[in-house]
Amino acid sequence: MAQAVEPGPDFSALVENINVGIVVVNRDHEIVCWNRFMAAHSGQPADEVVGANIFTAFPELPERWLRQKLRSVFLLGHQAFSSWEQRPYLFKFPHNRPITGGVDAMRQDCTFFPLADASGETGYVCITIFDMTDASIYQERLQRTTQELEELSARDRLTWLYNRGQFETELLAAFRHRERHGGHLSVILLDIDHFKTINDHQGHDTGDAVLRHLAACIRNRFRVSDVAGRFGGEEFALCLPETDAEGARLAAQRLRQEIHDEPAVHNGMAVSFTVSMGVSEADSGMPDPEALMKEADLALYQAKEAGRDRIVVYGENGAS
Amino acid sequence: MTLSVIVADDSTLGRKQVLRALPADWDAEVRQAKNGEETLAALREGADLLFLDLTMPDHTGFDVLQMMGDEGIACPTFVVSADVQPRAMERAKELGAVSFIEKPVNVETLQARLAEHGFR
Amino acid sequence: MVEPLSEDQADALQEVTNIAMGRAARSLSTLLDTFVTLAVPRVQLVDAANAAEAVQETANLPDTVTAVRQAFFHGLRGEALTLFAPGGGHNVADLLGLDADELGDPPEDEILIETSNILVGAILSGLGEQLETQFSYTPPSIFATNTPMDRVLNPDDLEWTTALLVEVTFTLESRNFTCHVLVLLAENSIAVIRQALDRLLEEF
Repeated sequence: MAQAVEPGPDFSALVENINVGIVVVNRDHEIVCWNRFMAAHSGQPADEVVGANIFTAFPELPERWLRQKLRSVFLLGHQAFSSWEQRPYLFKFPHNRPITGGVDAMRQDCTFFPLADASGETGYVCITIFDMTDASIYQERLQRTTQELEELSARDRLTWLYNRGQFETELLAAFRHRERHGGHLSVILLDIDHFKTINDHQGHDTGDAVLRHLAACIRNRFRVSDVAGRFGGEEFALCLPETDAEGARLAAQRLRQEIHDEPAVHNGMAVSFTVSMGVSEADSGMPDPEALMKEADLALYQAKEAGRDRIVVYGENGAS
Repeated sequence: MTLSVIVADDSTLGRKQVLRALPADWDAEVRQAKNGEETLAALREGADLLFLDLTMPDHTGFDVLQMMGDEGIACPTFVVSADVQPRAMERAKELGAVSFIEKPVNVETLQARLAEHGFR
Repeated sequence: MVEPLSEDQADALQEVTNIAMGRAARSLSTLLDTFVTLAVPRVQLVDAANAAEAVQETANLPDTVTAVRQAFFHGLRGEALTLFAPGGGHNVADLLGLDADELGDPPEDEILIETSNILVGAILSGLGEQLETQFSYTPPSIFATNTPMDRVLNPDDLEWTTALLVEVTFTLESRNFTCHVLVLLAENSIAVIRQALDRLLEEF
């Protein structure tokens, strides 16, 4: 046992003033020790609380859980713990942090350890309470940042639409859903016409502005349930659940109209551009989403061949 | 008459602990068994007393007690075990064990139990 | 290069673990009022590179596990990992007094952490008593959730190259609940435990 060789400090003063909550209960769950940390945070001084049954004095405590915890220490004779990550707090105390970060009460780590009585048996359990509010705030911030980072890796940095990988994941999910529940599913593949020319003659910044503008138009014109992705360069794809070929064509036409009506703007100058689009609808013969994308691609090719700035639906006009 | 004793435990140290605790002045012939199979084989040859561990690799001590019952082998058995759950003790008694000794083996306890059951 | 334990030392360690396991089982069974089935503990020296493989070979582990970790120090240093099948906690929630009542569904984590603490605490105090050494240990925390073994014991993440591995398995008959406790003693502690085992063997 750690003891000073000379008459050391008053250890009861140490227990009283240490910046950690200390509560000691006996086998009848009566409070026999209540230090300043506990008094200050609970607003209940020791003389009002010592001698009382802990559950009577603090009816808000999770009684069943705490009884079981104390029981395990009395019975087994070794430490038990409680972490704020599993149980945010034992005693609901207000915290002292200026920034709340969504934390309504002090976060607490608790340790429960046995203390012997005069006969040498475990007569008491000491509960120590550590204020973990700071750690919890940092943890939550870190989690949010990590989540944002994950979102970032699913999205194209410039347009904030999904990148190819993520689009294909979403398309697969929609495809599977259709396999199981039926209904319609269509895709639109779009390509900006003469994009290379825009980049070369008007600069890459202009090209970027066009890409961002197209992405904005897509977001305007399509539903939350539709999935939009950028395939790199000037190619985009749209996955439209619960939409048949005709519905997809109409949606494509509205987008085409918007692009006509509202050119991109860069450095105060209007930048006009057009897109070619290929539309296809999933049918039961398709083994996988790649088959669907292939048809859309063929339709897109035909749109280009036929003069650009138009929409071709796969399977129409003998296209195949 | 020489007492025929079997000490069954997969652990060498476990067997040694029991052997060490046996009365020094005993007239006993002691065989050791490392698993359930060996224990049963030794029992079939005839024995007056068995010290049986519960946690063994092939058959548990409970299995051995069960099989003794099935084969009609009546040998007084002292279960010597690390498994000290109240139900382990109950189960051992139900299966016919005469006494239950907790590990690590305490010499006085073991000898006192032997005396209790007339093995002194 | 760490020397393996001698046959006598390995046998002694297994027996000492057996006794500690028995104590742990008694603790758990008393607290939960249910019978705990024990298997023979396994003791082996492992290298970080094949630790995961060694564990999978001997224990009947599911493909992915949730692991709770406690580090111990002061006397012997090392860590205890308790492995559970993911989702297994719910089978024993009520036994721990953690039914869905006060705070809604008890989190799986809390159940596993509680079980782990009871077992590891009892095992370490059992080992400590017999080997006349002391243990202090950290609070338990979730080390991995629903993760394959070779990621739980990923050589790149382990702080030791060789460790003495002691494995024990506990099964709750009535509840379809099994957990495995791995006690890993790092290199510098292996010498300490060798001495403690030799002291024990000297008595016989």
